[in-house]
Amino acid sequence: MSPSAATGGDEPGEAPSFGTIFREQAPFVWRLLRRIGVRAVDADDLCQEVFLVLHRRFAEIDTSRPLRPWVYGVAIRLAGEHRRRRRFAEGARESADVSAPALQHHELERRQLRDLLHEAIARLDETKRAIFVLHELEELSMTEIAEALSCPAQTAYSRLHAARKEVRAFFARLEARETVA
Amino acid sequence: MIDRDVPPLLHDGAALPDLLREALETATDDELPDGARMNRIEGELAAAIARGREQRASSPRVSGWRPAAPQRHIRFAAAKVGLAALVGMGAAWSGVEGYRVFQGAFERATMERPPPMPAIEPRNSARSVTAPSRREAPNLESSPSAVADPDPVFAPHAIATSEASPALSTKSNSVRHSDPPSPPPNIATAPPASLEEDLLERATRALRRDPTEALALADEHAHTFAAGRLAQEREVVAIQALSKLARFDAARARAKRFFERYPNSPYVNDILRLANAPAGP
Repeated sequence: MSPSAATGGDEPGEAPSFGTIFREQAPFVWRLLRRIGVRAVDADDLCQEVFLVLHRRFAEIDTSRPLRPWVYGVAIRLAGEHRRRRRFAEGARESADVSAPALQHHELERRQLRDLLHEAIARLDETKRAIFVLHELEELSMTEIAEALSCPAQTAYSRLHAARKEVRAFFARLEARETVA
Repeated sequence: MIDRDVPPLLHDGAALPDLLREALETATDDELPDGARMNRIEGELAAAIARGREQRASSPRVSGWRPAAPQRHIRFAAAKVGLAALVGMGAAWSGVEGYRVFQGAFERATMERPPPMPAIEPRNSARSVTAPSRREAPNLESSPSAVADPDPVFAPHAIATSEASPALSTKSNSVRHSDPPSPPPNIATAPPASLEEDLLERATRALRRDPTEALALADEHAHTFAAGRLAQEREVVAIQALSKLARFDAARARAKRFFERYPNSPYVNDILRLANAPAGP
C-alpha cells in the first residue's frame, strides 16, 4: 500500500485520522521548533516525539476541537526538556552575528532579517520565547497560548508584554548602532 | 476578550522599529520542511510506534523508547499483525482509525534500514500517558456512548495541562503503572515466532468472515503462545470475535481479565468500546 493510499482515506464528515493530522500539523510543528531555536536536525526528532505523544493519546483526544494549541504545547515542552537535557547553548542554532558592526538597514537581506529576529528570540528566556513565537509568528490567540502552555491567560499576557519589550529593545539597539555607523 | 486586546505586533498598528517590522514580515517566509524530510520523519515515527507497541507488550517496565529491539523481522511483523488487528476493528472503532493510516508507513519502514532511535527519550511523555492506567477496573457496565465520548479529563485542554512545561505546571501526573511482566518463554521449547505471527494473522483474517473460527484460532494462539509477544493483540481479536458472536458476557469477562493483566495496554480504550458495544451483527 502506498503511503498516500494508507493515509488519505478520510471520508467527509469523519473525524480526521492520525495520519491526516500528522500531515496537516507536522510541518508547522517542525517550523515552530525551528522558530524557538531548535536546530533542524533536532527538530526532526522532536517533531517525531510530539506526534508519538499525540499517537499515544489519540484515542482520548477530541479531534473536533482545535489541536494546534495542544500540539504546540507538547512541542514547546519537549523542546524545553531537550534543551535542558542537551544543554545546548541558547542561540547555538545558526544565527546572525549581531555584533557585526555597521549593519546597514537597506543592505540586510531577508535572510539576515530573519536571522536577526531569531537571534532576538533566542535571547528571550524559555517561557517568553515560546509565548512570543506562538503569538507573533504563529499568531495563536492568547487563549490558545494559555491553553497550550497551561498557564493563566493573564500570565501569558504579561510574559508576552515582557518579551515584546525585550525584542523591541534588541532591534532598537541595532537601529541605533546603524544610525551611529 | 483579551485576544482582541492583543493582536500580533504586525497588526496592532503600534509604532515599531523599522528593522523589527521588516524582520517580522520576513518571518512569514520561515521555511517549512520539504516533503523528503517529512517523509523521513513519518517513517521514523511509524517505526517508533511499532517499537513502542512491542515494548509495551513485552516489557515489565516502560519508561520510554529503548534501543536494541530484539529481532527486526519480529519487530515489524508484530507491528504488522497488531496493525492488521486494529485495521480489522477500524470499521467499528473510530478511535482506532488513526492506526490504519500508518500501515503504509510501516511497510515503508520495513524496506529501510532500522531507523535511529529518537534523540529524545520522552520519559515524561511516557509517564504522562497514564489514561488507561487509571482504569485498572474499567466499568464495563457503562453505556457505549459514555465510553465512546472522550473522557473530559483527557480533553485537549486537560491534556495540555498534563503536557505542560514543568516551569508552568508543577502538578505531575500519576506515575505510570507497568504492565505485569510476561513470563519469559522457554527458549528451548517455544514455537518459532513466525508461527505465532502466522496464527494471529489467520485469526485476524478470519474475523470478517467467520468469528467462530477467529475465536478458535485466538484460543489456539492462547494455548500455544500463552506468553507470546502478540498476547495483547490476540486478546483483542478474541474479544472482538466474542462481540461479533454476540457473546457479550464472555467478551466482558475476557476484557476484565485483559485489564487486570495489561492495565496500561494501548488497547484498553478499544476493548472498552468493544466490550460495551451494543448487540448487533
